[in-house]
Amino acid sequence: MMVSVLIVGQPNVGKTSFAINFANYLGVKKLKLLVRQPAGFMATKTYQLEEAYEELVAVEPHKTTEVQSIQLKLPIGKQDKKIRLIDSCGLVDEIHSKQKIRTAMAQTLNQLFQSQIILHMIDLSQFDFFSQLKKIDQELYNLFHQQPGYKILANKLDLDHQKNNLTKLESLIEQKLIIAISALYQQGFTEVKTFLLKNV
Amino acid sequence: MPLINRNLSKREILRQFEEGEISITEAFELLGEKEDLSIKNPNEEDKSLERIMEQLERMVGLENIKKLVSELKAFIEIQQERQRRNLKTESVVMHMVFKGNPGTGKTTVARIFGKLFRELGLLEEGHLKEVERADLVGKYIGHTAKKTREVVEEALGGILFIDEAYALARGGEQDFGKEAIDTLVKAMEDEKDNLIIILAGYPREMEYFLQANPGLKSRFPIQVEFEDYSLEELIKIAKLMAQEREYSLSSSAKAKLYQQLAEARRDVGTEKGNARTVRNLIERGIRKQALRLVEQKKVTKEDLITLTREDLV
Repeated sequence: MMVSVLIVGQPNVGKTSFAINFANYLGVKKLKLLVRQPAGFMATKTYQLEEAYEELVAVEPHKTTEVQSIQLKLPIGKQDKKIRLIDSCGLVDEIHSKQKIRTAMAQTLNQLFQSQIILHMIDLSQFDFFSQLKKIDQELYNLFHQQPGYKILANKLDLDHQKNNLTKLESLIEQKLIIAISALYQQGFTEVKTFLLKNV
Repeated sequence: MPLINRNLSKREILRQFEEGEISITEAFELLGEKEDLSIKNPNEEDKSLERIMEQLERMVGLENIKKLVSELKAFIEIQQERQRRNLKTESVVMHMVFKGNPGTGKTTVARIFGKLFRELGLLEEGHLKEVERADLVGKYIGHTAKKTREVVEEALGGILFIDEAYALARGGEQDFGKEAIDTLVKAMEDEKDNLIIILAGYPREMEYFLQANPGLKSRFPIQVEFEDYSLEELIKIAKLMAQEREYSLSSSAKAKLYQQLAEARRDVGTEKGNARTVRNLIERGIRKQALRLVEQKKVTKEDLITLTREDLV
């Protein structure tokens, strides 16, 4: 049976970017995304990788407003194990003013409780402004950190020059739950893969 | 600050969050209590399989289909188990023909099949792509193949449901419908593992269509007959439909409904008076009831729930 892997986090921490680059890392050339169409039904759409990157990743936050999923194959011995990698809408603390974003966040919440594996993404480059975890991250951590299928992906390692922020993060939460990555440069992907292989 | 109601269902919590009535922190708190927070282990997928089977079980009538589903499910599971033990396996060909009058549950069942096959690992997505002749057949030579291939592409990983499929053979030898059929047959072979096609339509027309295209009959090994609902079953369906919308039918309303359905059957035959007719009657009844109640001075909760005889016209 297919295992669902959900990527969650605040807006603009690099969830979609990670999903696409991780698919690329696993050797996927074309992305078949299951997207909820405006009319309400689900349909698959095929993207070339670069095209997906251009169309789905944005500099401004809250680009992803529908839960999207990608089928990936993890090589285990001779057989491949299929997983469903789910990209989700960013979560924020305050009650968002836009209905559309709230709907998307509700979908994400719903997914949280249905996925076997949760990859919680935190942006290292934003970290120095706050000596503590943001409220939403703290809540996610509190809820899920004791579950075997939970990992924190500390993203944007490439922007964390001195590794100061990574060190800080490691002082705040259990170190063994953290995988430092750069979604952009595919750093740390081997560890993510190892973690997934162990848990599917 | 209003007290947070601790007994909300998960859906209600998500709805309140969506409406901006509660913050994400509150939502987490409430959901956390609901779910005991364990990330589900893969075994729980069995539960969603169970839920799908329940959904089917809840449908009124359709006994032959319920039986077929348990057969198919068992067959698929055993083939998969054999594969795991490296035994020879039969290839699982699940293309189907659904024969039945409108409103006998063909689309609803197809949708359930999609979910079921996804859970069984036969389809990647399990979505239903519903099309008819006009979505497949083009206007000039070559157009049809392209159109059909596009539709197939969208259906990959799920079920391609072709309603009124016999219309593909409507125009005789020169018709482009033939081209659509050929393209579909090719797609069925190329995408063996990731596409299920269901041809649906009136029983008599479908029978004729398959007779005229003998190649198709062998490629669609599963033939499912959707029988017309009996009047008693239709009343049961009406009760369920009303219940889903938090309405109920008074006994005089039920009698009236019975009479209306019997009349519809007598006038146009069973092609009309089926579940879809029931839904239309119930939905019209709900609107009529609203009209009746706004005129009324005092409205009780009972009034709001009950559909009476005069609402069903």
